Amino acid sequence: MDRHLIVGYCWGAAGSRWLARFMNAHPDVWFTHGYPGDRDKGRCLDYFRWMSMVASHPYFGAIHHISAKWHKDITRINILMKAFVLVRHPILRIRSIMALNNSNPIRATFPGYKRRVRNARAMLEKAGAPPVESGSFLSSCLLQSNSHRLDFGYQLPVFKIEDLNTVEGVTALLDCCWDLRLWPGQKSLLGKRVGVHAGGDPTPEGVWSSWPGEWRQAYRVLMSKEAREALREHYEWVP
Amino acid sequence: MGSLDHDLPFLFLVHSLGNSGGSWLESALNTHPEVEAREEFCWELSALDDQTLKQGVSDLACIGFHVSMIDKAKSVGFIKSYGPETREWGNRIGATYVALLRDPIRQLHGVRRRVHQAVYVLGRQPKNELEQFRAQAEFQSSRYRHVLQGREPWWRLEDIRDAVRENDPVVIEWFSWLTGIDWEWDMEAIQNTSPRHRKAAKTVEQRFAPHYEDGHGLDPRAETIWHEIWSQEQRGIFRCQYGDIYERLGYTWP
Repeated sequence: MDRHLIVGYCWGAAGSRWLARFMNAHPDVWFTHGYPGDRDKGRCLDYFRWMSMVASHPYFGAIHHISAKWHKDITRINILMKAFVLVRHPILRIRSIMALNNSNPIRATFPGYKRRVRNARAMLEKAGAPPVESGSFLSSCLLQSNSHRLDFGYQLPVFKIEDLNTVEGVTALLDCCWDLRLWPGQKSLLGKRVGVHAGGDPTPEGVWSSWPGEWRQAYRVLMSKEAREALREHYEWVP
Repeated sequence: MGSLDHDLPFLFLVHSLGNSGGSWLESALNTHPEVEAREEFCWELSALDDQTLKQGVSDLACIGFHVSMIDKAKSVGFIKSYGPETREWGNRIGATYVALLRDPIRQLHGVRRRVHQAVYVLGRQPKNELEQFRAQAEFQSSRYRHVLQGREPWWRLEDIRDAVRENDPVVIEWFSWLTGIDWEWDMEAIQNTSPRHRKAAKTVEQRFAPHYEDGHGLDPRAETIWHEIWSQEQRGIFRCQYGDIYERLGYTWP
């Protein structure tokens, strides 16, 4: 049996848990939410090899973050592969990342975040922006900034989670994934977000206007121009 | 091609019914340096819908891989209340699966201490001791439901413990099968593992007192409730699995 790998790239709080659930609702797909992270390339490759060995499904894969550099290594695995990127509106995503940080103390105190937040504060000062009180906001903003730089650096098909609410949207995704057919079990998941997204989202403009002025200014300083331009190709309104 | 310089983890799932010796089994399995067993870890997948179940097992596999990476384990297992559906999904990704049984009266004694579980089953707070007993018996019955269908590979905790006590190498064979790796003979390490509730553990004779002597045995009213909840068929199947222990002790199966 030919094994087909499907890899999704997603940098947190963009709907990856829902997407894994959606893919798993297909009877021919075995899909995990996450895999060994991009800090250990060897393990990541091993993980997909292991999946290819043990999975009884013809299609298998995972969604998680990975660097663009290691994406190239994955493509060298001797497994038929399709890959895509999942994105979400940046303002709503920052809001969800903050919710995750605040509800998960371990995540919120991740040492890397603290260091990066210190860097962000220095960067803000250098740009003449006012200091920002919330470390959670800063770390969320940084993650966002980094991820968008990578999201559009893979040169892969990009899907917006906002579009995966409709049959047309998910059909396009499944077409990209080896022309898979949409199954009724998958259809029943449309519009049913999970995790921090389950409560429904306000409008991005509403969230933006609720932020204090220093947050808005920090966002503009921290988000790269390239990332904002790339996002504007997908979203009508990006600050 | 990327390098393959790591051993891939072997996954196993143990359907522990609650107070059936899961924590002891976890300790025993963890005596092996290449095994990482985690009890009461991750979700109870038995009662979930098919899609969620598949997702849950997928997540378990993913976490298993992470655990193997962090703990340098070659074999990773999770011990929790999983059901036959989990076994089916687990089989698809190459995990082995076993249900861990325990004498229901002994188990019931353990369950009795978990009132929150009774509330979970009943959806209400038990008003008195008998109602609490009923809730706990229902909880126990619901957890055994799948196993009693007779389709599950299962182990009796008592058999494992007896074999350990008697230095029977069959334990090593069992553990090798479950964890997918060879076990060297180190029965002493397994013998030295302590169950969580060792101090509270008593013999079946003490537990299955005909009267409510120590506050834990079945009194006639409780026994009536137990009979009501556990169907004749269920009890018949269980008698096949546990009747020998009771006969040896000179008791009639409840």
